[in-house]
Amino acid sequence: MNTPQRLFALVVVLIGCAVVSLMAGVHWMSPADIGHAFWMPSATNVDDLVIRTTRLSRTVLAIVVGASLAVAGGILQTLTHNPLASPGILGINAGALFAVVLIATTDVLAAHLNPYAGAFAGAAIAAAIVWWLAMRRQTATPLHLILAGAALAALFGAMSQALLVIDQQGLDTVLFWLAGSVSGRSLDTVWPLIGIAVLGLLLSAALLRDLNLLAAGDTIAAAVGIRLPRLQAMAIAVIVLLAGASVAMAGNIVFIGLIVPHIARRLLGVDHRRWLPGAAVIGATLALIADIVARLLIAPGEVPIGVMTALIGAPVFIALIRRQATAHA
Amino acid sequence: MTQLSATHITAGYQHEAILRELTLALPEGQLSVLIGSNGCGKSTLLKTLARLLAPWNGEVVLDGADIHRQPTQAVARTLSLLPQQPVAPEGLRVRELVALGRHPHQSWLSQWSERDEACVDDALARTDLLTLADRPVDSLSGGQRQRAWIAMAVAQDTPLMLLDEPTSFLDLTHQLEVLDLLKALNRDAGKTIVMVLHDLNLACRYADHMVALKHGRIHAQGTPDDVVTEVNVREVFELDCRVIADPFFGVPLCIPFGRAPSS
Repeated sequence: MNTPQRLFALVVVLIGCAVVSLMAGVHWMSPADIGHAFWMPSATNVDDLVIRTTRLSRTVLAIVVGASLAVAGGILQTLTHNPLASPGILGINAGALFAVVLIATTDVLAAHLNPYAGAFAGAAIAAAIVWWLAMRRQTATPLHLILAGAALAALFGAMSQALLVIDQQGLDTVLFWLAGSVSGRSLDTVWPLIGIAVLGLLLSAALLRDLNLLAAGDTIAAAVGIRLPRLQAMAIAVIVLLAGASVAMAGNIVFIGLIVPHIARRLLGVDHRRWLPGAAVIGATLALIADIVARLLIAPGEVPIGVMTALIGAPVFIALIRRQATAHA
Repeated sequence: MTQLSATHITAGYQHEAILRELTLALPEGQLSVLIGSNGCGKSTLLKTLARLLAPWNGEVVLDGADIHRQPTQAVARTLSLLPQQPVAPEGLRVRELVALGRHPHQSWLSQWSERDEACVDDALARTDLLTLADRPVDSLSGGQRQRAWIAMAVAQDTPLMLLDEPTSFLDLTHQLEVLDLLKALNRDAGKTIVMVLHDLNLACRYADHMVALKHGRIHAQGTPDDVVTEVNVREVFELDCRVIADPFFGVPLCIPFGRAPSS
C-alpha cells in the first residue's frame, strides 16, 4: 500500500471504530438502532436517547481528544527534537490538575468557576510560564523547554499535593481526573472545549510545511528563512489549544501523545503533511478502542480510559523502543 | 566587488563578546576560507554573516542593505548556510532533504513548481547523488551524507554559500571530494563560497581568499601566500612550523613542529 492508501485505510478503520463505539456498552445496539437514532429519532425511545446522548458524546469526545493529543505530541516531538516528548513536559497536565484541585478545594472558586474552563486556564498558564522561562534568549532551545517544563510540573504537582493534604474535599474529583475519562460529559457542557481543540487541529495544518524544515534542525530551518521564534510560539500555542482542551475535557490520558506520533511516522513516513494528519486519525482510533474496551472489560463498571491507554500504550512503547534499539545496534 | 560584508561588528552569546569590532568584505565569485584556532570566532562570524546571530554593534550588509532589515526569506534566496554536523530526521530520503532547500522559493500560493523540481534534479546531478536519491539519508556514508546536505544548499539556488567545517569527520579522500565539489560549484556555477576549514594545507590549495581570525578579530587576510606565513601561523595558532612551497600545487605548505612557547 502506498501512503495515500494507508491514510485512507486508517480513516476507514476510524469510522468502523466510531460505529462500534455507538453500539458497544452494557446494552448493545444494532447498526439499525443507530440509523434509527440518527435519521428518525423519537423522544420516547430509550435506545435513541442513549445513543444520541451518552454514546454519541463519549464517541465524539474520544475522537477529538485522541486526535488532539496525538497531534499535540507530534508537534512537540518535532519542536523539541525529542522523540520522548509529550504534552505533559510543557507542564500542561500538572497545570490543569492544579487548577482542578484548587477549584475543588476552594469554595469561592468552586461556586463561581467552571472546572473545565479552570482546567484549560491552568494548562495554558503553566505552558505560558514554561515558554517564558525557556525563551530567555530570543529562541527557546529544546533543552531549556524540557527543563523548565519538568521544574514547573514538579512545582504544580507539589502544590496540588499540599492542597489535597490540607483539604481532602477535592480527592474524588482529582482521582476521577487523574484516571482520565470521556464518559459522563455531555456535549452541552464541553462544546467550547471541543471547539478549541478543533480550532487547534485546523491551525496545525498551517504549520505542516515549516515543521518539515524544523525537523532538519533549528539552524537549517533558520537558514532557509523560517522565522524560528514565531514558528515556535505558534507551535506552542497550537499545542496548548489541543492538549489543554483535551486535558480539561478528559483528564490525564497518557501515552497517546507519546506513542501515536511514532506509529504514524512508521506507517506514513517522515513528511509532516502526511504523518501528522495520520497521527490525528490513529490517535482518535486508539482513544475510541481504549474507551470501548474500558466500558466492556468489567461491565457494568468501567475502567478509566487513562488506565486503558496506558495498558495498551506501555507494551506498544516498549516494543517500539526494542525495535529501535536493534535498528541502531 | 562584494555582495556580503561586515562593518565593525561585535557579536557573541549572553554577555561574552566573541567578535570584536570586526570589519570584513568577502570577494564576490571567489572561494574564501576562514581559518583560526578553536574558539577564535570562526563559526560565530559565519552565523553572524548568515543573519542567524544578530550583532550587538555594527551591521552585516548584503546587497547594499542591512541583512537584519531584509525579510529572512528573501535573504534565504541569496545566501545559504550549512551548519556543522547537521542531522537529518530518521528515514528522510535524499530527494526529500534536497527538496527542503526550495523552501525560500515557495509560498502559500505556489507550493511546488516545475522549477523546484528542476532545481532539485540539478542539485542531485551536481553532487552526483542521482542514484542515491531514494535512499534514506541516515543510511548513507559520511561523505555521501555531507554531499546530500550540500545538495540541499545547492537546491536553495543562492549566489552565496556559507559552510561551517564541511569536511569535519571525513577521511582524506572524502574531504577532497567535498572540496572539489565546492570548487566546481564556485568555478562552474559562479557561486561565492565562504567556509570554515581546519586543515591549513587543504585551505591553501582551495582558497582564493583567506581570512585568519584571532580572538574575534581579523589577524590577516589575502591570498594563501599572504596569509600562511611562519609568523602568521605562529601568531594565529601558537604553532611552530616551517612554510615551504607545495611541490605540486605551488601554494604554501605548512609543516607543523609543535606548540609554540607562549610569548
